[in-house]
Amino acid sequence: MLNLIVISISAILIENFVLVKFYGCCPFLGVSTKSSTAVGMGMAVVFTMTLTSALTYPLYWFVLKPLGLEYLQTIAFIVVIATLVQIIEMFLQKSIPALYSALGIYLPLITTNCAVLGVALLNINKEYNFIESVVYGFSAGVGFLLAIYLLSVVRERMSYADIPKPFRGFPIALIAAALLSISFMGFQGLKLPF
Amino acid sequence: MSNQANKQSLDMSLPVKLVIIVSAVVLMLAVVNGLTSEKIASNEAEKSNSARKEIFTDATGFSLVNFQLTKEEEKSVSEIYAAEGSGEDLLGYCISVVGSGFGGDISLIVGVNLDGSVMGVQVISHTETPGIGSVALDKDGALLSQFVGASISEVQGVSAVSGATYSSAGVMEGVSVALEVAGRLLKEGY
Amino acid sequence: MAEKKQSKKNFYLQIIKDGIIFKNPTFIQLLGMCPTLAVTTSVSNGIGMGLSATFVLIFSNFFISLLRKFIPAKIRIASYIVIIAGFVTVVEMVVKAYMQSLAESLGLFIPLIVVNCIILARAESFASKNEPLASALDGLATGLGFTLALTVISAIRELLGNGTLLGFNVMGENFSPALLIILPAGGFLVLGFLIALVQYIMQKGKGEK
Repeated sequence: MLNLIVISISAILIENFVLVKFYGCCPFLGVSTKSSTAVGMGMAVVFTMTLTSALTYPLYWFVLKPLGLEYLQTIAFIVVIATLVQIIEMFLQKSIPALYSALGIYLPLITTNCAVLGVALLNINKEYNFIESVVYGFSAGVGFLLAIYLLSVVRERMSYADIPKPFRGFPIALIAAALLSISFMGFQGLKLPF
Repeated sequence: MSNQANKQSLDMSLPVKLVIIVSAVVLMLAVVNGLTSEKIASNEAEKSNSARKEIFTDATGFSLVNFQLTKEEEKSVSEIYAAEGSGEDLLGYCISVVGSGFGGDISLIVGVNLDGSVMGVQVISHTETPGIGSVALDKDGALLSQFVGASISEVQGVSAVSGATYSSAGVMEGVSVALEVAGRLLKEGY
Repeated sequence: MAEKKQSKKNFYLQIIKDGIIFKNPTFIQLLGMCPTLAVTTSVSNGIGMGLSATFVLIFSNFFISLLRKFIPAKIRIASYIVIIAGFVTVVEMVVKAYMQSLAESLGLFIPLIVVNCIILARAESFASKNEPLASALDGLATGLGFTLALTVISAIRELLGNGTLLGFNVMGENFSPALLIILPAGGFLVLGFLIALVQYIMQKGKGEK
């Protein structure tokens, strides 16, 4: 149990997926201009990452590894993610239209979000068991949600500021991300008491 | 009617085409894997092996030791090799351990003499901050050279590299565990 | 006939210029940010990443273009990803076998080339509409543009953050490196200022016209 808390806290704060490990930077910078869309994207990522972790675990340990096909992991995982995203999209469209209209346009983007493939590969690398994998996937997604929400709030504020022309748009967002990243560095070296 | 049949056949062709693409790609990967897998496996073994050779320069061979570890030790110790001299006499042990540093795990190989003191410490991989924590892991740097000749009671007296306290502590932790295991190994006579 | 040849030559030239400079994937199109930020802590890593991605780009573009009439529109993205993932795995295995230290320092970012948006973007916007040869050339040009960008960023970060260039000490003994620059935060910072510089040059160019 303690073990799971440690995994969770390190994925969210100490090794924040976006600000420390740089997974998922494209959507982090691309869809963080408004906090409402940022939260929508973040939620969709949490959902997909949790499910991806749950599905890739048995795929690797019960199918690829026993057959000696570890070298197919990248291709197998990306196919799983692409299919999963497609299924989630169809499912939401049919049964929860409200959620679909909120998340819908972000779902296809998630296939190419490297945080999702990244978490699947890291679960295998770190040799996590099934529950640890799912917790890690969920927490890494929450870390992404936290980071993209924080950046989007900063960017909403900045839209009122008089920013030098060359810095408008992407560059100032990157500099804001740099400052966020510096503040997250404070969590590094955080020794959990268990 | 014919239109419907047309649609049916069209839909059937999608998965078939996808399967063709996937199998072509898998075939290509199987071929490349056949060409590179041996080299990759030997690369990995080579790295630990050359680290062991640097610790025990006189050793002619290393053999894997099967030793019963406690549950606690199993968390950090992964492999134990016995270093053998030219006459198949035992020179000492190389113990692969991980210590926890600032940014994550630090993998080390600790060489232990027959008298239970450290012969040498080699860093295999780490994720410490470059330029800060990594200073403590420099080969022949201030920290690692202090361990040479240290016995288990002396390890705690090693002084950490300033600015890299966590990384230094991670290495010390790894070395202590290795020395503890080696102490039992030597007592029980392997 | 000669005219047609001339126009083809111009077309190829345009592809090269666009890929490397005018539509530089990193600085102008702002694609592929994850590897750009993550691996640019040293020049050798930056070049290694750039060339690995270039290799994948050339081959995936070439084969996707070759198969563009075979791949049904409905499942094109899935097919592209499978093809790209195949070449990425090839790169991963070759790098692990023959360039071990590069494999260690790039780590997970080699398999993650699969989801580098530059590659999928080129497949979708260029390779699916053009001849195989032109597509391969486009892959090469875009890849070199990416490599160039990574080299510039990593040179700045390595020089300021570590005082070295390609591992050689060039700043002298008394230089104390600004460590922040090679930490994650420095990646965001350096890229932010570089893109601002590019935007400044572009705005100035437009203003003068």
